[in-house]
Amino acid sequence: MNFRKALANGLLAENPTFRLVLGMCPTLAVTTSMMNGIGMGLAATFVLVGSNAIVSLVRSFIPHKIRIPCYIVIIATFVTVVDLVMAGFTPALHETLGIFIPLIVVNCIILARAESFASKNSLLSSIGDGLGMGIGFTCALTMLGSIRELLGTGVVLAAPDFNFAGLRVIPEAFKALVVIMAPGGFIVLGLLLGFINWLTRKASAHSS
Amino acid sequence: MREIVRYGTVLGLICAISALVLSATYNLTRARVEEAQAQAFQEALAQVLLGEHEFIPVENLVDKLGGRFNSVKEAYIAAGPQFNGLAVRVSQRGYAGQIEAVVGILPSGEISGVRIIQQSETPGLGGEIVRERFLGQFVGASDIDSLQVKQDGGSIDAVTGATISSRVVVAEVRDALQVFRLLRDQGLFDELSASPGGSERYSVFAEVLPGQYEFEAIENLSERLTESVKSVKEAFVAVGHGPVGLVVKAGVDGYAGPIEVVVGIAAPTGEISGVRVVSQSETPGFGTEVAEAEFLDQFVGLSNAESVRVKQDGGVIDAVTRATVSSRAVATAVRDALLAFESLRDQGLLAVSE
Repeated sequence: MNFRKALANGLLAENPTFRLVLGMCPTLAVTTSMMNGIGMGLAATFVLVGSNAIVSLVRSFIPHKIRIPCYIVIIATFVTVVDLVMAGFTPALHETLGIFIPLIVVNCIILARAESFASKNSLLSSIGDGLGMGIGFTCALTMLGSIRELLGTGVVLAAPDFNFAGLRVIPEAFKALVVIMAPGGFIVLGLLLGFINWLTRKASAHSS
Repeated sequence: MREIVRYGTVLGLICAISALVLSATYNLTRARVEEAQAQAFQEALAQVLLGEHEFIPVENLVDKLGGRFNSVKEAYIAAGPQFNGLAVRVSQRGYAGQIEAVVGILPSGEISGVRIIQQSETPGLGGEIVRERFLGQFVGASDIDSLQVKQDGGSIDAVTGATISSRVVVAEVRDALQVFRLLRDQGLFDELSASPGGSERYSVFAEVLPGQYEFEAIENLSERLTESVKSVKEAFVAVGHGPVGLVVKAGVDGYAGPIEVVVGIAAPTGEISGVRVVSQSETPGFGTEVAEAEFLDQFVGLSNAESVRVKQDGGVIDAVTRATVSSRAVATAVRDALLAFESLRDQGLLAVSE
């Protein structure tokens, strides 16, 4: 699979959130606002690209039996670098995402792509896959975050790090707080998944 | 056997390279991280005690606190020429980790601001404790008993869905207030006051007559005042940048005790620019309302002494419901201040100077 195919694959056909259904824990926890979703998505993308690249480079040197601990050390290194850099250069976002930055280490998407793709493909394709998966993940988080933010707080585009309180679309009295909490997250995610499944089925019915 | 050696070597090599990369990154970013943290802390200090002060750390805080209030880590006295307030850094375990906050307390014992500088609560829920909507509630509070979340009988609205995090912040603010009182009772702030109550005096002056001024007391006031305005105790000419004005301290007998007010009057226009009640001991909920902005703002802009009376006496001031005596007392003090101003002005004591 070449770079471009891998990139497109991660975005649509094998979108990690909506098709592979991986990394659900940070997805549900962080998508309380659009900006949170974008921030997390970008951090995870950086780690994905980096770890995919390194794993692909050293794939012939890593013995099969100890591949998992090796991948995890590599991933953890990248995540720690992201954590340190964010703490130094984007302290506000770092504070907002807080504990979920270190948790990127155990994000299933990253380990899954290292194991199933990067360890078996060339450097360029692996980078493409990392990029595609990362952007696909970011898009999914952004979508989910926007919907939950709109229904759960009534505000859109709130960006506290840029001192922007967002635009109120739904009056305060009509906001559904449950959408921002865990049950609401599951419900919105489920509905979105169903909707996307329906869309893809229609699309494949058209093309066949 | 050979396999194990190979596995060990490979894993060890990867870990060694990883450690190298991490220590390099740490060293490269450490300066920035510490700088960002220190800056956030300084910003928090300046935000909670509005303005640029010199912050002097309180030494041996643990001893001074007698081992109590373990959540209070550091305290800083905000000093200018006089004691401007206390900033306290508090840290306590929240829902998901330590919640670290800075609380600013004015010399009057009121909270001037709260900022959260470190927390790792759930984003969107506990994380909302950093918002102005929640922290703004603490500004002006001074009564420790009412500093509880509403669920515990206090006046603070907790963040919806984050009661635990909210409770921790409230407890931290309470501790900060206790520490302030403790240190104050130990006399720690006295050495820094230019004169007893000095700082309060100057900050109140700035509130009633906004501008950059030097305040010069008028000597032999009682001899100069041709009107009989017995409630006027002291008067200060405000000179400096901005229109010249007069600040008058007046004292009257209220319902339950003396009421002391400070009145600011702008010179050219003779209009009242501000009134503050500095001390009173009226009935809480009734007479005490004369100290509130809602009542005092009515005086702003008035220049005709006759209109400075409660409506019951033919003036324009709406007395506080069921506190006519207290309201009348304050109106008398303010009217006397205005009459004193006119008298001093006519004597040429308020000539414009640069």
